[in-house]
Amino acid sequence: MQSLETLRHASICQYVPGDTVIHRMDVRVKLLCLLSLITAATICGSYVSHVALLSLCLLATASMRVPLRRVLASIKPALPIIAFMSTLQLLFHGDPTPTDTILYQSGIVSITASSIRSVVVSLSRLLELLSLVTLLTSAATMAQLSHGIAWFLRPLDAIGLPGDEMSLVFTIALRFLPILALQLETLAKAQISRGGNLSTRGRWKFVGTTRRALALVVPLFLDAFRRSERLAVAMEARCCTGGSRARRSTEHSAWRIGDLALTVGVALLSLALIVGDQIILH
Amino acid sequence: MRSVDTTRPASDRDGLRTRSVARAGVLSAVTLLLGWTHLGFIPVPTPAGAATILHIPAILAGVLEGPTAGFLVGMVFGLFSFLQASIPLFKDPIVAIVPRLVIGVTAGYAYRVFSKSSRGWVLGSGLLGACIVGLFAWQVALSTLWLGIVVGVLALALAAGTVLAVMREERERVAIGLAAVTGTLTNTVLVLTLGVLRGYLPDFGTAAFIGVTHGVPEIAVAVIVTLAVAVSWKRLERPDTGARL
Repeated sequence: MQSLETLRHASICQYVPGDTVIHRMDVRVKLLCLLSLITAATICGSYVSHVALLSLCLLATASMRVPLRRVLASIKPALPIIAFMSTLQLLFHGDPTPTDTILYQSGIVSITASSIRSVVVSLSRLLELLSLVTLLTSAATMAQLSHGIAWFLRPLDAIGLPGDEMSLVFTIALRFLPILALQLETLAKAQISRGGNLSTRGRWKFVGTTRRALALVVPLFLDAFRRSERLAVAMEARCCTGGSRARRSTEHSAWRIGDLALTVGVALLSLALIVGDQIILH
Repeated sequence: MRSVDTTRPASDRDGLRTRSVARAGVLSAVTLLLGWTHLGFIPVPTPAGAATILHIPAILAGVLEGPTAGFLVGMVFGLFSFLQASIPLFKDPIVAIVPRLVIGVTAGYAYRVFSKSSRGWVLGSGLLGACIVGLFAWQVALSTLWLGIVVGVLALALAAGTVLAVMREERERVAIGLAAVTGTLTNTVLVLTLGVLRGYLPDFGTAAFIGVTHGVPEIAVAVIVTLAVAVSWKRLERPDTGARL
């Protein structure tokens, strides 16, 4: 019950107010820089490029004065599974290629230089992506992010895809999250007051856990549908039909030279990392 | 609540109506809520730790509002899964986001196909699906016997369920159930395949093991929730049909 009380203060995005260089950037610049760095982190597979990316992430974290503890906090519950998967990856990473250095082999277990590299690379990739995403949500509010994403989706309208609807869906989802959280709390209290037991959760009692979850999830869905119906009526009463351009209330300021230079710089850096990485690997 | 006019203004493009946008938005909020409260993760005794029901809003959007709405909700699920992930597999946007975009789309098309097709079609495709699962069970049984038997039982259940459902003339429910199965399979199969291709899982054997231990409970839960919600909502929407006692 205690955990349910805190639901109404739910917020996925934990914005940290501040006045650092990264905070002052245009949200579109933040998104573009994030996109190019994520691309680099996802594609790169060599030690050198990941050392570069990791130090870049550390630098950005330090410049934003976000405590490193916050970045790492979300890894903690997943540590057992990370350890398990890494061990699997280390011990059974497929057949060694002829050029690979075999460090240890017995039976089906074989540790090679490339299996060690793949473990180290996927762990550092995790750290990089984690810190990049934490930095983005710390430096931009959800409203800013959704306006930024809407700006990038505008070209989709021209080719007939529902770009405007996408940003509308994001906005509705974020606005409705606290409302539905409150509803979930009410539902849980209603079930408990009827004698329902919602608290026990055990790994081996998954059938019971599922049934208890269903007692909350199914009414939650039906309530969400009822609310969506009311929302649709309210939107149409205000002539807000899907895909209308009149809804755009906020316009972004013009691109500044510094913003453009930074975006292009980060993109070039990521490209250089990817190209260098491919040269090292092959 | 039957006050929404169904004759649409001309400004609506590509068939996505205001109500679809509203419903997709609220279903996305449900996805975020289930994920954030961990209500959507059911702890199971396997290494990965939890089976998910977060894909169900995307399936529901696909079934009730069509593939485009399913795509939008799937996108929110993918982005959430990418932003919240703490294991390497889901910190890769290709594994976390791309498969999720397709869940609602395949579920929506599956619903459309199965709700309009004749009994023979449903029976045929159900049995074909059971045959494919049976063939897969044979392949699995060659390497791991007990896992093969589990999958084989699943194939028999699929065949029996299809025959039973066709005999009972429950076309609407069958279509919703099959859409839930399709959507869940899309999620499980695509995530695990991409996981192997991107090198996070050692080989397809491990992926098949995770697929069976997680896919089967996820399919069961998805069918139950989707049927419960979609059927009761459709009945609420059309009061004239009334409740069956």
